[in-house]
Amino acid sequence: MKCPIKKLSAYMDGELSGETRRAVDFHVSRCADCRMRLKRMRLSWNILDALGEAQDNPYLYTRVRSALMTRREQPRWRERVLLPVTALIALALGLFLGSLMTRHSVPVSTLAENDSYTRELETAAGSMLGDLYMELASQQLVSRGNGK
Amino acid sequence: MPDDQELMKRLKKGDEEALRLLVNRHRQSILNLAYRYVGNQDDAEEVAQDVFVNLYRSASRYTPQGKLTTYMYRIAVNLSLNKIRDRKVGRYLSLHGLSERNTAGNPADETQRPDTILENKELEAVVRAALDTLPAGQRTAVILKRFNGLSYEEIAEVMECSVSAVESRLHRAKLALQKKLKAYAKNE
Ligand SMILES: [Zn+2]
Repeated sequence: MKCPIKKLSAYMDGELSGETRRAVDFHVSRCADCRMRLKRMRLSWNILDALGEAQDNPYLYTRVRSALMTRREQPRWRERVLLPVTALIALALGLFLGSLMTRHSVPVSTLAENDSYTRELETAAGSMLGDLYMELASQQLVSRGNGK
Repeated sequence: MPDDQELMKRLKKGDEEALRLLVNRHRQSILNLAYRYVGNQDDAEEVAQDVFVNLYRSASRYTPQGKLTTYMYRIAVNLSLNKIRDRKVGRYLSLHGLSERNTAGNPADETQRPDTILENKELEAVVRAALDTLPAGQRTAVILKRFNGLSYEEIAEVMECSVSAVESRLHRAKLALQKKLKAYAKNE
């Protein structure tokens, strides 16, 4: 058997079964290189312990409850403030892009260059608006679905 | 004690006592899972809170397939990754964050004083930096395997991918971590 390098990780995790496991077992018992590979892998895997853990928070439920209560109040706020604000941003971006296109469109020789530049800008602005819209839509969907 | 699926049934009907029991049963593992991504208590608590808010809100759509923890881990992983992404955007937007990042250096750099005995916090920073360099998929597989002790099959369920994808992610992740942490593995 060639050194089963790609199998060593799963072997170390005890995730190989039957024939494969026995074959790797047999190989490792005879191959010092693979034993070294496994050892190194284990050592760095063990160091991950240093990552530590979070402290418990016995009051998490209270937090969850109050988050559920406050978020029920939000839909009205969103409709009143966020929608008009989004519309305003859209308008401003439109005006900005419009002014850019007129400013850059004069010399014919550089038209192609400018065209791709503007297209990039349009795509960026478009996707920003798209994201904003999707965010808004999904939040409304969620809050509607949960409004009691 | 009612089991998780029983509590989810009650949660579907809006039973808040069921929510309390679920939070208290699973909060520590969710807090820990989030902490391993976000690296601080405040953000971990925020993620954990949102996991349970999300669980409550999606209870009506929940269909019992496999363990509830698989479902909760999936929510926790997604929210943790969102939290990190938002934080990066925030940091990018603030000049303060930029300078902070520039002076922080890279603690996972193998050439940095490998023979010094590191304080726990320092070693934690080294490990975190090494983990942070992994692509999200590899990092998730590592966290779920190393800290939550999930089998490859369970990890595949959480990540909604194949078992062989989990296997290859873990293989690549271990090699990468080995490289980054080589200098610190000597002392073991
Ligand atoms: Zn070998």
